[in-house]
Amino acid sequence: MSSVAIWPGSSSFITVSESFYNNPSTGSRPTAFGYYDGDPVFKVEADKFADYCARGMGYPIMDVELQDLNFWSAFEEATTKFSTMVNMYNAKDYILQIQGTSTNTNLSGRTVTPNLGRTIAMAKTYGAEAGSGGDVDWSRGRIQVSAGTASYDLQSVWADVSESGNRLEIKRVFHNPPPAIVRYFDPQTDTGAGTQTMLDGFGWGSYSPAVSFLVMPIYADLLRMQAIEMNDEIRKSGYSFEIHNNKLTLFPIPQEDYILYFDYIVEQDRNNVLKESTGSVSDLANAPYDRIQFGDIKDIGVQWIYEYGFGSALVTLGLVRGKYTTVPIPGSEATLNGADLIAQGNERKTTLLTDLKEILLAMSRETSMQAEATIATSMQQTLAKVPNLIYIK
Amino acid sequence: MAIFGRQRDINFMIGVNKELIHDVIEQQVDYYKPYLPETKAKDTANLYGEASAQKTWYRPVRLNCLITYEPTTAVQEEQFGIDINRNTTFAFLREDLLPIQLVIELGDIIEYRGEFFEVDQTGESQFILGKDRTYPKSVGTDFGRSVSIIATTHLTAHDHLQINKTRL
Repeated sequence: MSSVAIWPGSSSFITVSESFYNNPSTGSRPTAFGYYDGDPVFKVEADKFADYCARGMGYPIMDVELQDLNFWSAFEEATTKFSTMVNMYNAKDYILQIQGTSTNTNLSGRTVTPNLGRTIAMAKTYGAEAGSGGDVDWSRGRIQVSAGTASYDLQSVWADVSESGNRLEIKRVFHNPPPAIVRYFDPQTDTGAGTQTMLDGFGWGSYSPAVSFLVMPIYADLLRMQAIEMNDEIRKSGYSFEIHNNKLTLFPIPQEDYILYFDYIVEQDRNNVLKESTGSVSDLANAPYDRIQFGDIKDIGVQWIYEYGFGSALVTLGLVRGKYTTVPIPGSEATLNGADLIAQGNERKTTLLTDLKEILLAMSRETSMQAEATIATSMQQTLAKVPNLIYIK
Repeated sequence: MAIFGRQRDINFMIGVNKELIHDVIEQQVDYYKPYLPETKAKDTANLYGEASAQKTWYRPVRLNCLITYEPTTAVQEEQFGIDINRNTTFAFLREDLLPIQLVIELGDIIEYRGEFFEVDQTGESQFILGKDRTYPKSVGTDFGRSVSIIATTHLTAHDHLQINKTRL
């Protein structure tokens, strides 16, 4: 009968590792994934961890039906779990900052400096709608307006020709009444500069230019401007338009041919969700937090890893012993404690995970800021109780 | 082809057995096999042809086993008076017997607590997952294993055996 595969009492990670990674390769990979097989600190600690687990499981009083590979894999699992949890919470905390940045820069162990880049990027969508910045191109189109024709389908007249039939959203139509100045100064007519009329309009008609002046308050000009504009709106034809389904209707009905300009966006441009270049961070999946090497983890994390790894090893031992609940022994049968070990191991792991989550949550930016504010408030309250000096003259 | 009960599983179960029997429970007996060349039945036999006067034994082998040790019972013999008996069962791990090539047979003697028990009956009926790899119609030599040999015994007087404890 071949020897029973149980813990022999010691292990040598370095020996097994060298056997596997040397050429030619012999034996098994020391850990399941080999994430930390090159980490010199991990190599040394792996044997200590195996010893720690075996002793915790009753060795040397009891046999432990696990081998060095089982312990090392549990060690690797625990290290990876710790690394993943830390990285996950960091990524969650800084995802707004790192979205859109390169996926090639490893952020593990780096301090991420918060900025408003992503917030502004998100705000650009509002800017695009408001016409003040944004990340959607505004284009300018034009149509030939014909006298007597008020309605024009911008989609067919412009979009089908110039935008490959893509749907437009009209942002601005340059259909305004002529500015008031043209009534006084119309370069298209040959009635002269009309300077006197303009001066009359401003109330300066009675004064001989460049000879005498009357100082007027500024509100007099404002009142006059309002009077002119109100006159235009109420007493003259209103310039307006309506757009329904990109069909433009002009008011008043054009009396002459002219070119009308309008600004628009292509809806497809606004709806484009892929504005970032490829190779940039999009979400948790490609957040560039690489696994933290065991050697870079300090005591707090190391102790967590030992305890979590022990829980994993307990579960593994429970699975070994639980494959057969009872084992025949001469004249009877023995019930194994697989179920107990699995329950204990899982409970230990769950507790450690919960603790770690709570700690990581407590160290999030949001919670840290809240804590800082609380401390500041408390300090103020404390300092407020310090007696003020009394100056006696 | 069976899925469960291959060599690794068997090794595990044997390992658990060995730990229990050798390290945890640790009941030990001395096992005596008769040395037939020196057991002279021809010249010293009783009227039944039994070698009652000169039995010779191999040096005992110390074995671990599980013992079902029953209380003594008084036996009333009409011709010989009162005698006592103690039926005791010794369950041996088969894996312990294989390396020393010990076969449990009727007439063998087992000493436990200074008492000698003669094997009346042997049984082999425990198999891992119900399979025995030595059985030719089994699923294969990788599967199954006979776990135990169980010896059913009765208490016998040591003066019948010519086994005496001596101080060397």
